[in-house]
Amino acid sequence: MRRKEFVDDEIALAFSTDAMLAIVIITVILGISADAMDIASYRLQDYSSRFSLERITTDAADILIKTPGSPEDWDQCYFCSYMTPGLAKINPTTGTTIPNTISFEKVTMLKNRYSELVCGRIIPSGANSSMIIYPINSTLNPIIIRDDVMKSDVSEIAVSNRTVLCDFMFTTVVIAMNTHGNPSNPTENGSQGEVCPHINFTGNLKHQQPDINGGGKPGWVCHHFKITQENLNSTDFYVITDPSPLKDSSARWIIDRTENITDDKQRFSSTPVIVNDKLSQVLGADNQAILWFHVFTSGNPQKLYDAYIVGVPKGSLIEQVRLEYLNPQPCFFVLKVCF
Amino acid sequence: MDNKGYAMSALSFLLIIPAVLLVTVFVDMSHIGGESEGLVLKSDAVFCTAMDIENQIPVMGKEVLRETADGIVESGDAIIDSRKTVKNVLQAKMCQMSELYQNKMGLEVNCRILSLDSSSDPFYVEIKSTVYVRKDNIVHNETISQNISIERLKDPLPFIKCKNYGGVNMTDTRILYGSSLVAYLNAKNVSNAFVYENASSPLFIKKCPYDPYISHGTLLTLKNCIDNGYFHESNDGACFLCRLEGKAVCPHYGLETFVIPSPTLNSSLISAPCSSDHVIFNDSSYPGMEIQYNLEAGNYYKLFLDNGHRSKYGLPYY
Repeated sequence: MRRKEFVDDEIALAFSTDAMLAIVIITVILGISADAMDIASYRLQDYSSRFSLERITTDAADILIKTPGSPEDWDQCYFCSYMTPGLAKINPTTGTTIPNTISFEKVTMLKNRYSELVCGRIIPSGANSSMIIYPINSTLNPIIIRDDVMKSDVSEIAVSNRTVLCDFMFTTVVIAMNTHGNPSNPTENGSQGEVCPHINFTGNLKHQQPDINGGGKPGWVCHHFKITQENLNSTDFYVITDPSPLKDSSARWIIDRTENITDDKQRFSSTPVIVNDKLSQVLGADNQAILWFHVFTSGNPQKLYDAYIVGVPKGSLIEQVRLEYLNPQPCFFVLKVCF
Repeated sequence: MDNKGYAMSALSFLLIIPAVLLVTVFVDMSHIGGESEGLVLKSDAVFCTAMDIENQIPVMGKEVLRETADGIVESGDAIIDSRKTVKNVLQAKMCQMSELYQNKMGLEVNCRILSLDSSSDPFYVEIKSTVYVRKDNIVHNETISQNISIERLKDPLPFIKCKNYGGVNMTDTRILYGSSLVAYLNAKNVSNAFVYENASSPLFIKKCPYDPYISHGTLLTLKNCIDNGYFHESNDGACFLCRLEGKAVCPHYGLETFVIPSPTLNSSLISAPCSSDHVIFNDSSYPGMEIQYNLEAGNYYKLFLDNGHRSKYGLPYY
């Protein structure tokens, strides 16, 4: 198009049809671009706020699931002033974190001290949160660590959902005869390497170790465990066996301590036996003590069994004390955070 | 094309400019998207490798400590500067592992052990290290501190101290001194060393569960602690790393256990070298008065403790 034609149009049109068409298209393109920029800028702002909340939620879930906390035994540290919660379970033998497995004791403690340990530390103050462990096995109840009411007008909500393994009972003490071979051979790592306080006593009090491989000699297998008054207040303890009921009719158990040795033998039952009263009686007025769990076996290799003292949260139904729950159960760890 | 040699009219040119701009933006966006995807993959590889290396340090560390202690148990020879020696062996193992990652994954991996020292808990050894992993421009550099448990490792000290006095034997769980401890104590002109004829002490380091220690004041608890061969925290006793060097005492917060005399038929009360291992194996030992913690088939089971140790374990003063 020539300039002269553009300027000196004799039909009194400022633009030719082509020029007008071009300007319309350019205007539309510019308009769309401006709108796109506006949308992009809004989304950027929205994204940064969203990203921040998502990052907080993801990091909080990571901290809780992947680390054991600081100190590692923070769940037993009632008076520590500086601690970071973490739920990862520690392998007691190697001292390393067991991947994707969370400790039931730490979950219980976090539930009791959630506001103090989580709010303002790993989740910002003022944010509402919900932390629930949903077992894949539907017969188990979810563990609700915290469930703040999520208002309908929340501006942002972020959810982190992780698959973890979680114990639904914690094992206080294990007497494993069925799986660990001959308990009469104290091994470096075996749980049967312990000498019980009844050793070298005379009469009924005397405990001799069984000889399972060498002709089925009967005897006692014993293990110590620690109990505190806090444990008794927050946990129900049960004695259970595997298999249940037992084939060994002579099987018996005793719980005592070195300061109060007894010969009060109890029969195992086909159902879990709650022992809080017994533990409380043995603990007496002390705040904490080392107790001993003694288990008698006929030594018959065909009738071997494992015995456990397990803990479940106070008030749990006896139906939830089941042998299969001794193994960590696959669960969904769901953390929701909203502003 | 017009007849003046223009490829396109000015109007067409104006229309093409925004189209070119838009295409450029789209190309750039897709390039950035691809690049960030690549970055995430690289970042994951770097982070996971760093985590792997970090998790391997305590496992390797414990292995090196076990091998070192077992070597001393075998030879009876102390090592010089255990911190440096163990650190160097661990460093070599970590270098091998880093090389493996480097070759297999094309990452630049460097794990440098900064220090290996006693921890505030004497049942642990503290390792400080720096883990550096790089892939192109993605770098993970972290300095970490980790504790390794020394439980279930063999106590090397008696093997070093008694090497030149006849050596010691061991069972599955205990160190049997035979006459070597008496010879060792006699060489130091310690009186009543004979009570340690056929004495024994625990082979493996195991933490005593009877905490607080004053609960040992119940003699059955003391007996059970001795029967199980537990170790206790001690301000005076040597830490594990110093034990590897053959030291019975050290400035670090350390460990102690009881060296148990063999039972006797003699019930008379006597004084003998204190039964705490850091006292017996120190250059200057001091006496303790006997405590009879068990009587079985006419045999008296005794321990010799000074008032300082009696106070620690809740036992009556003499």
